[in-house]
Amino acid sequence: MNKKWISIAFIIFVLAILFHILVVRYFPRMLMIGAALRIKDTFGVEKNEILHNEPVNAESKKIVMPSPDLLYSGISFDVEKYPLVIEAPVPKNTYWSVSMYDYDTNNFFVIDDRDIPTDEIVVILIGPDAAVPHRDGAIVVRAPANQGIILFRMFISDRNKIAELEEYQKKITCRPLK
Amino acid sequence: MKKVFIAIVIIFISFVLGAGSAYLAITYLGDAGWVKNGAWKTNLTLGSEEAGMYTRAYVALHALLSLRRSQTIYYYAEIDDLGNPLTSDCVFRIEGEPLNARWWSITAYGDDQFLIPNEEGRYSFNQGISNTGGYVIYLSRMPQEGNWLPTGDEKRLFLCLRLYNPADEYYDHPEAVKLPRIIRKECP
Repeated sequence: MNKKWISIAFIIFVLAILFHILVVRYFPRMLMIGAALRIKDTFGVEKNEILHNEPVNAESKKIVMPSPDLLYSGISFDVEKYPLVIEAPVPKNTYWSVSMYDYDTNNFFVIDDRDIPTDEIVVILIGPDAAVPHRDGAIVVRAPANQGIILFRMFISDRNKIAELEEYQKKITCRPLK
Repeated sequence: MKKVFIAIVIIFISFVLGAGSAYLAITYLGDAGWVKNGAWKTNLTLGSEEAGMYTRAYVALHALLSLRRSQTIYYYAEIDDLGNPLTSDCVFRIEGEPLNARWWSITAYGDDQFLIPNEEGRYSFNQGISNTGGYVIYLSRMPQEGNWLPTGDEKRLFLCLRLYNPADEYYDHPEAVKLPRIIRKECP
């Protein structure tokens, strides 16, 4: 084998390692961005708007391994320009949580009903470099990146209570803090 | 012109090798480092910054938007207690003692990792902490008495056990805590 072919093989080897790392590193990010885009494309819900899902079933094919025991609501957030104020009533007779993810799949914030002494929660989500706003009673969460996904989960302990849980769902609001 | 062609070929071959090896690594090495407990396996780094590059990619592929362990522990199974693959060709009995979590559920998924279509809308079995009795669940194509999760015609089945607000024992000894047993019954 001459020197030229050895050089080509070496270049291919180095580039293949580079592509390998890039694919593994950015694959989760691609899927997360895909999930955020599906919220918009499928349901016509823009960034920083909330999407309330019905209980999942076999037709639910947006995200793998959905839980049929949970009622989900979601927000594809973008806090680059403004913080996001999220207000939600918290049911006290079932599991309820709000969790936040960056595009690297890190669940950087989660809180459930057991950690909320009142029957509602106010969360202000700010970007990585934003100034911390003040509002009495609000939990301020600093996101590691400007974009990501927020997910609300409510446990459906009894199928007859779905309508009641959906009432809680509908009362969740989010708006930019301008 | 020839040099450009060679460069394109080199980049193409490199990409195929890099992306192909990445896919294999995510598929076969992504669950390396997971804790095994009988038929079940779990990874306590899900959703956290501790998760490594391959685990993160594996989870993105199989369990996107997982909660971190402070909230939920996820166990997965695709085999029974003896190592036989879960398939709709057989009947499996899942049984055990109450699990020590605020609530927990077992959900059956098909080969595509989505819920298995069935007329009854039976996809999962769940229990709250107030349930103190044992449980028996049947995983089968044909209807069963009691708790039945239909499996349709899925050649490959996945189970996900979700434990919400679990007791400390699941964090401390995820490899040793008592989990549901998965026993193959009828298999033609």
